[in-house]
Amino acid sequence: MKKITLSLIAASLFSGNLLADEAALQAQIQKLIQRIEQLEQAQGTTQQTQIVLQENQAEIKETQISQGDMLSKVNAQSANDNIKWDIDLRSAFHNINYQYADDAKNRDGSADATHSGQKYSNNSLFTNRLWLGMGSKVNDDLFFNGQVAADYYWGADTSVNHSAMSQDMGWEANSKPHDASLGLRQAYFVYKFGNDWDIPMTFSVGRRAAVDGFLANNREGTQKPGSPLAHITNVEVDGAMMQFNLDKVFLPGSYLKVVYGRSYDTINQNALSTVPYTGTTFPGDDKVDFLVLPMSIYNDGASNLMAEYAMIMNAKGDTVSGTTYGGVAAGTAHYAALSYQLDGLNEDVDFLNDSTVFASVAMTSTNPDSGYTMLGSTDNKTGYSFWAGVLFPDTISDGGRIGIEYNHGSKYWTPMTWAEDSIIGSKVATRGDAYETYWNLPIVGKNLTAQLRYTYINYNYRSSISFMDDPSFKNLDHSQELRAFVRYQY
Amino acid sequence: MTSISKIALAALLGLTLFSTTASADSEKGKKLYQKNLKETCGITGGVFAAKYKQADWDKAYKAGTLNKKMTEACPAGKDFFESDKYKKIETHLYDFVHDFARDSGNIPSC
Repeated sequence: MKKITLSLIAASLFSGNLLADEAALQAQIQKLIQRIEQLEQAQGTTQQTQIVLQENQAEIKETQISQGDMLSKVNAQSANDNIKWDIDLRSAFHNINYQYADDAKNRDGSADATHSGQKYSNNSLFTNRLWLGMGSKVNDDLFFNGQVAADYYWGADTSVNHSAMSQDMGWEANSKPHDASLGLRQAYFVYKFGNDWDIPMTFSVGRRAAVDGFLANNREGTQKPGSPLAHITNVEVDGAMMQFNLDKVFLPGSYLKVVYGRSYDTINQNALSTVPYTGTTFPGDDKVDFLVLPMSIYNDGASNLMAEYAMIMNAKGDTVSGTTYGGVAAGTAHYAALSYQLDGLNEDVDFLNDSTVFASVAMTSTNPDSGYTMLGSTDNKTGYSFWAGVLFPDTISDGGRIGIEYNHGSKYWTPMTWAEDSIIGSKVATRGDAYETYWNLPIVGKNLTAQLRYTYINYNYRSSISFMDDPSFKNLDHSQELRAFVRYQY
Repeated sequence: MTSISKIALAALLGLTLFSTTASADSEKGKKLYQKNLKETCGITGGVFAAKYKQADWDKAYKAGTLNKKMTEACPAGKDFFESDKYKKIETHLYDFVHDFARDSGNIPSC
């Protein structure tokens, strides 16, 4: 009996152990199953990720192929397109007035009974000026600049015969077959060489920018001036230029330009001629060549001192007898100017730091050949001029500036400022006193600007910038212009 | 003054109301470089601006670190780039270096 009891106890203990092992085993199996499920899920996610990556890769490849095709098209289209364009469009309103002197004289000195004491005005003259700028750059040392231009008044009619209603009428001028004219204002290339030399040089040929030069840029609301001194030079010229950069051997910002060119030529263009492009249209009306030497003496970004000498050969005058009046090579004209501008009067005061002052002195001299007259005289005549101005912030706009200028010219003062941007004639060339004030206003930064300008000229002598006229024969008493414009540049 | 002159004048005065954008100017920036940095850096403004591409100048300007970028281009100008004077003219200098950056394609006149 005792043996049976012990056996039963042993058997129950053994079976209890077996049950415990089975439970543990079951738990382990369960864990393994969970782990396998986790691994299966992870494997599924990895496969999904791989699929997504493959899809993305395919999309990127397609995009690359597409972009490559597009680049090829762009390359094919622009491979030979080497011109960059920019636009300068100005629309202006002008109100102009001329008042003749009570004792006005004609060019020959006789009394001008028709105009004496008369007043002439235009209360609403509107103009548009478009400049299409071109730039082409081979590298930093060889590049081209050009500008085609149209400058006209609204409703312009350049037809010779008004009653014939030709295709020159402003309202159809560019919509009907016409001539092949396109206004070229600038076109020149620049080649720089000797950059490592003590005096690096620049060579340029073409139709040069000799307008809106130093000091005149202020009254035009333009930050960067042309290099000629506007006190004696404001013309469109064709010529060759050599520039010597003296910055390394002389004063900061210094350079000298030597410009030689031709401003007038009346060669015979008659297509029926056996020898076209030879001789002159009128006897004695010889070619007019010029030499201009603009020089920057010192320019440190604040102080800018510039000088210029110029000479015109075969300048137009008259014979002593007066028989060829109207334009004949009569002698030589000389010009000289010294101009200074200071930007920023006091760095510690914002108002003064944004202000500018400038002053300039200049002279012109005529030297008629034997048997000819210039400015109505067979003798050498010298004219003098003074020009000063100040610009300061308007304090009501961001960047707007107000300018005030004064000019004075003596009896024989006759600069070559025929292209000056003044409807009533060059104010710089005034033989008398000129007063001017303007307000340059940025509307959308430098891209859209406006200007309001008033100019008053009081003449002491004849209003003329021709060597053919005698300054003694006064015509106008005074003239004035009110101008307002908006200008888009980009 | 005629009525049309008055209208033109009024129109211009009216435009002042729309004068909204700060008038930074690259030409002014060039002058300011010439005045404040040319001698210190020993290089022309054109060479200074061409040290980096437009995107590089842009990125530094937007991040407010243009002075550091300019210091990299001209280490000798470090003191100036950290001065109050620099802060006053930064927008003009930025306009200048942006317009004449290495890849600007800007064509100088002469």
